[in-house]
Amino acid sequence: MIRYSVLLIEDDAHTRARLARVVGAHPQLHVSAAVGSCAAAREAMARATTDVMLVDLGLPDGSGIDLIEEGRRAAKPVEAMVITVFGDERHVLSAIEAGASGYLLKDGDSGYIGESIMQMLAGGSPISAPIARHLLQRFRPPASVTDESDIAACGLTQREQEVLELVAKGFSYADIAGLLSMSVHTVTTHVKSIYRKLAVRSRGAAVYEAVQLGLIKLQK
Amino acid sequence: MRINLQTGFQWLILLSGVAVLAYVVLVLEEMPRSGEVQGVSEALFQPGDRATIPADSGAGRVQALPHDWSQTDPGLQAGWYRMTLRLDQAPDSAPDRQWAVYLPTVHMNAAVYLNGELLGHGGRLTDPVARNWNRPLYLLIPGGLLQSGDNRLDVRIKTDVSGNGYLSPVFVGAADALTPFYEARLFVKMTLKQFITLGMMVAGIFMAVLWLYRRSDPVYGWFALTLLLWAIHNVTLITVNLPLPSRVWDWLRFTSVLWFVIAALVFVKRFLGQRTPLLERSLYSVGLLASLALALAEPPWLYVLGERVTDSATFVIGVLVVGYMVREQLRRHNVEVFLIMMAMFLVAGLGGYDILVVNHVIDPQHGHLLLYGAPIFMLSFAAILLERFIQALTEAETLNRDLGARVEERSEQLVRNYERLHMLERQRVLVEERERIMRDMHDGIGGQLVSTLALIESGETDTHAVSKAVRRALDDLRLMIDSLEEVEGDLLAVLGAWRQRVEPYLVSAGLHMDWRVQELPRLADFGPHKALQVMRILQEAVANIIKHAAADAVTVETRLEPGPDGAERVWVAVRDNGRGLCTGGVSQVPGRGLYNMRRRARAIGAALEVEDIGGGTRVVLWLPLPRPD
Repeated sequence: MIRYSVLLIEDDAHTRARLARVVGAHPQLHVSAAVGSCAAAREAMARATTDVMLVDLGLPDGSGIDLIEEGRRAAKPVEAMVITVFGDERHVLSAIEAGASGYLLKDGDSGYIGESIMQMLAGGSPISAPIARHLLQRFRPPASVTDESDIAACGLTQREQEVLELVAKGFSYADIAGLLSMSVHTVTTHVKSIYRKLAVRSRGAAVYEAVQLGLIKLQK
Repeated sequence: MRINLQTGFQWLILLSGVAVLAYVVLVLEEMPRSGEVQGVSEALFQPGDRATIPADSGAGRVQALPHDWSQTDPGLQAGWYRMTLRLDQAPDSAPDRQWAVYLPTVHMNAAVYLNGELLGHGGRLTDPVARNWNRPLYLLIPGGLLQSGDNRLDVRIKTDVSGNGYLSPVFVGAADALTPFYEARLFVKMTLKQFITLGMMVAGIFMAVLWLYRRSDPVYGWFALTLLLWAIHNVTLITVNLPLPSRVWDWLRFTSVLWFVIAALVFVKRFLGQRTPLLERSLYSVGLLASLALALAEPPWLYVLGERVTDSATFVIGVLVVGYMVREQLRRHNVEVFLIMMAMFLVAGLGGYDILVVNHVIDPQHGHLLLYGAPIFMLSFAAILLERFIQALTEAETLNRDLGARVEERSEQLVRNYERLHMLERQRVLVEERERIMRDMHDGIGGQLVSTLALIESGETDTHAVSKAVRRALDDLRLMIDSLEEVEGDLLAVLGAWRQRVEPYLVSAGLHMDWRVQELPRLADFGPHKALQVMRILQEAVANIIKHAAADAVTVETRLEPGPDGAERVWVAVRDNGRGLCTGGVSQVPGRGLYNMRRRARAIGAALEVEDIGGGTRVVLWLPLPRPD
């Protein structure tokens, strides 16, 4: 049985200890390191291979967003999940934009946290109704565009759009699989793809802004 | 005293008018006296209408010329004059040395014969007889007709009941010598009058158009009417060949002058900004009565009425007009009014002269003079009216500019006011939102935290109970955060957010969630407060199921259902497949929880039902829909 190594980055010691206990309780996961700062996390990543990082966004010496970016660009990319108190849309969206594959509630019990991590490693991505709603708005094509192909060019495919709409109404992946006559796996693939598009879009937007601000010079 | 362009213009008009008048009188007074021309001022007169030259005899009486029939033969309508012209030698018969006969004044028409040959005439000799009141007659003598010694000149004069006969001295001489006199007289008595009349018509139409665009200013309308009526009167005077029967024509001649004076009076009153309704109404009545009487009166009464009565009325009204101007001048001592008053004196004098001519007091050889006063009258008033008009335009422009500036200032003020209101509104919204959040926190997490604190401080170290209490507080806080999401009245979005929160509890309690929601119309006025209350109600319902129902499935349903009043409402149900209410007894219904759910429902205008459905319990929440407008 494969055991995945999990790097836990959380600055509150009690929460960190609790999460380490909860994650470690899962038979297929072991916590390789539980640290409280960006520096310690970078050290830990350099020291040993990491499969998954669970990261708090607000750390004393930097932002978890940077760690997610670094993990994504590592030789062996590290999957990242954000740990958050509320799972509110502002936190989660910025994490996804940074390349995270999902989020975890800090007070989740062992069943919930273990399952969520395993699902993510299996290619799934959890998504909540408010976040789906938000993504729908973010990918909404401009009002002037009505042509089918143009809408696709704006980001989401027809299927992805449908999946998001159902998620926003509270349907679970299983419900959606039934409603759209597809497997649950396909639904999770769609969601994952939406996440990737959001990350790409935000990076594209960042580069564009940087060029505009003169921070990056493009070679002709 | 204000000297400006306009009073200068008025002076110019008055002085030019006087100059023109002087020129006119000079021309009218001047008669040929050169040696080449023979003036005949004595003739044998033979009254009576005869178509052919009377037999060659010494019949008739000796009559000096000018001869005004009204003085010697009133009522006479036709007569013959015989004059003898003695020449020492017959004139040269070369075409460029031709001779002519010149009759400066003839009333109303004449036919001229020389040595029995007809030289020519001034138009129709039968009714309506051509009216040469203003036209001098000038007839060329064919070469060879004049002989040395006595030549006989016969002049037939024809008139009708409308006017008395008149013949001025007759001149015979070389055409070259006579033409300048004839042409000057023709110009002054015909051409000039035609020009003036035409000018009055054009000015009258112009003023009428001006009035059509400015109905509120009747002075332009009255001026136009005055000018047009006067012009019509002039036409009745200077027309030689009448297009209508003389009776109709003369009715027009008398009534037009009467109405002209009435219009002039009303115009002057309006011009001075005065109104005398009683006087004006009685003038209209006089005008109507006179017009009617003139239409009904048969000649010669038509002429008696027209010349005596109507002219008297005209005279009286004319005096009134001048009187008003004088009174105004005495009151205001204004240059403008003074100049107009002088113009009016001039015009009134000419009018008086005409009345005396028509009534045979003055020799009529110069014809009517009132017409020459028209340009003075017309231009004096037009100058002032146009100046007023231009002034009004300028004022309007200035006003528009001022108005533009004021509107701009006003709109700036409005923008400022709006911004202030907007700020106040924002502050109000913020205050309300703050109050709502405090209320909602007090109602949920606040109470829960206090209760948890009490639990901890009670000394019992039941960590499980403490953990559960804290978790509930945390859950409520999450619901509050979710409720802040802008959902634009989409209830399903609220339910979806709630499901995500409740799902872990269901999973750990071994309950399966069956999600059977249906698309719903957007709810009106569904903000964070209502969303939070709905979520808390559902949360409570699920908590009850977990605690008491012993079920393994929870179904959440939504649809539209007609309520008791028939209006559609949103129907939200949470049901389980557990014990139901009855089997467990009333005690199974959690009193406090249910009380809270009902209270929350009432607070957002919703209704709540809890019912046993036989093998389960169902909590139904009815939410009102916006009324279709």
